Amino acid sequence: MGLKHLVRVLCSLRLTVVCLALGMILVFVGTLAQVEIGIYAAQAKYFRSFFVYWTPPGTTLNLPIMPGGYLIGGVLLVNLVAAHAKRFGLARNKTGLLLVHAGLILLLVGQLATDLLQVESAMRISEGEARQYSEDQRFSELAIIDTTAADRDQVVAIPESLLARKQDIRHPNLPFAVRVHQYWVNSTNVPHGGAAGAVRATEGLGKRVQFAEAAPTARMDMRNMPTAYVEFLPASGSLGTWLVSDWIDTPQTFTHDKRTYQVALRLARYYKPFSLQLLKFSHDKYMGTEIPKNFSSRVRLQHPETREDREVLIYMNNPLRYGGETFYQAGYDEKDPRVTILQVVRNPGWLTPYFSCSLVGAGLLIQFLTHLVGFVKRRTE
Amino acid sequence: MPAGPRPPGAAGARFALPWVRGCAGVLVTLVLAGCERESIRVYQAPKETAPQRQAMSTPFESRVPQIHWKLPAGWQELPAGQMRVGQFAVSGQGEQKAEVTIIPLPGLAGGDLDNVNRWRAQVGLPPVKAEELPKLVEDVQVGGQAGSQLYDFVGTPYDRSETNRLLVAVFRAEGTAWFFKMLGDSALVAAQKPAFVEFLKNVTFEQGAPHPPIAAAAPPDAPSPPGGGDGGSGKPTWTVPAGWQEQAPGPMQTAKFSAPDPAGGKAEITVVVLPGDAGGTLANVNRWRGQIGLAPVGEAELNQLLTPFEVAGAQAVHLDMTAEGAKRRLVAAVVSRGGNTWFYKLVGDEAVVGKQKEAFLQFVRNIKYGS
Repeated sequence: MGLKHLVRVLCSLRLTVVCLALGMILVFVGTLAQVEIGIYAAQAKYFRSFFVYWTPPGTTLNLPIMPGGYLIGGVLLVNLVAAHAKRFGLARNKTGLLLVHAGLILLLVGQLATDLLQVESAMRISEGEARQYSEDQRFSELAIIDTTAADRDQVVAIPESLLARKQDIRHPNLPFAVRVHQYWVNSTNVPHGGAAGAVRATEGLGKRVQFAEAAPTARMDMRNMPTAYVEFLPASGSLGTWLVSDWIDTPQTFTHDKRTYQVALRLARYYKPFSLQLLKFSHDKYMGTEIPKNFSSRVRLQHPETREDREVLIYMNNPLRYGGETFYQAGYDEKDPRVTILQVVRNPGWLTPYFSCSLVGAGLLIQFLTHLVGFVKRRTE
Repeated sequence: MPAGPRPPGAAGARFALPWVRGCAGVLVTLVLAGCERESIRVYQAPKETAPQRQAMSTPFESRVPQIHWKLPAGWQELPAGQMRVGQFAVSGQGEQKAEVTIIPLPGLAGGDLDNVNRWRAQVGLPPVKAEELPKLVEDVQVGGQAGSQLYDFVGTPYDRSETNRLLVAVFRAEGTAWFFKMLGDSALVAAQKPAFVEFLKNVTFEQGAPHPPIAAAAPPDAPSPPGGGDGGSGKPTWTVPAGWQEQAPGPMQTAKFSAPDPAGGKAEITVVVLPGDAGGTLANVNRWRGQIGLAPVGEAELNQLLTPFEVAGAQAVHLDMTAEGAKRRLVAAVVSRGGNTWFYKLVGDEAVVGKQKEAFLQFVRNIKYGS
């Protein structure tokens, strides 16, 4: 009885309507929330969550007040699949409906894929320079770089989310454990000695420079500058406590067991098997204003493995699609007119909306034609 | 959507399990793939050259000549960092220590008077007036060229009992101001002065090489007194007035708030702490006047602008200026405490600043500073 009831609910059209209505409310509320908390935090709170939580003022309670995007989308998907499996089966006269629904399922799954797999980063290249990696715009990593080898560096990149747990981090490629004493999502500089009671670095720049915790920013034109205090612990002893921060541009160097390492907390990097060299960057503004009219970057793409070596012009609405990534002309450095900023998007699911729209379109056409043909046949009989 | 007529014979719970399994499989794969962002990555990367590093991350990049030097005996080279392209430690007898830094800054990097008074504050000396400047300058050769300025200050900084000595040479060329500083124990710096002068003479510049990274973190001359110590600059405790919203502070700012007005318009409150008197009240007041579009004032007019007021255990003044035309108003409070100067500033639309003035002054009065 219980299972039958559940199946009936899961297959019901009512559930679809409720989910769509909740989805509309969620989009409305989530859009408004972007004003206060910024787009990324709003996305995480309303859309990339199973529940939207609310903390009543003056308490530490975390109450779920409405379903989040994952839950609504998930239930909608189950509803669609269940209804289909139960009601329509694979009858030939339902081909149109089948295609429409397959298109919708693909759309839902494709968007989830985009949400989970899409990586956005940026490449800043100065004229004449070649670059082989892009940088994440929001997430940092603690890079421990073994620079001993003469030709290449080996990088062990620990994501910020692991630093935030403030636990010892061990990895087979590291001959020491990394103990996280302190981690701040955002930080600000303070005069030396200003951060009383804070963890102190015993090695490196941190002996002279200090930072203090700052409130995370929600603004789109600013980013968080994380800072952490980490200690490197080999099997015996300690290599000291180091201050690592996004504020510090130069990696700090230390040696252990005859190997040289560099450590830096920096924007997460994504290396590519090819390089882009900026040959010429042009940006025109409307005369007498600061309003951009046109940007373009002439780049040289070199891929040693495929022996490709060609020039590409990237400009607004004309990105370079290469190696599973799309390079858009995103901006320029206001302080240096020779620096272009390309947005790099890796989205394995980028084709799914096209496929799903085609499926839905084809399904609707078939459904319509089936009805039309049936109707005309009946008229002529 | 699961719309449409119900087909006959489909009333039972006949579930097409392969469908469900298929969907579940896809979802689990996606979620697992999405978790990859949370894991440690290991990869090989090509060797990085300095220009690559700087072009990526610093908003303050600019191309200036690269510098080379001959290391004097007894100096120990330290890794460059922050805004410093060169950094050296010098040790003397016993505990005596000094530090040498080389900092290039684009442009003129401030007027001489402001810079000199900031350096003087670092060794606990009172500010000087513009007319006294020429008496303080020594001529020095940098990179074999004569005509650069050398300053030599001796004093006792606010947080130390020993006497410190500071040598600063300023060399301006090709749109870049180079600051060479030696700061440390007085006796040691005195003994090292000839080596420092010789070092300056022997540096060479290479044209067109890229500038090493400059971090946005520290102000160019953030004082780093050897031995550290809290000079009363730790973040104090305060009560934020109703209606103020805390913002992420900018570089050099300790705190920042915004005070939007329901009737429209807004004002911003910032807190900045600087060592010493930070260039003097007159220079700061004139800088603020410039920010709201007012002409600078002289020493005599300044005293008419300032109103002393009560703050526990410190000297404080506040002032209130309005740019009639632009309808901009600025209320600032300056609190001198423990060798540091705290600058509190409320600036914004005239009407909003007027409404917030009392709350602002109350905020400043009630602040409790750490030891």
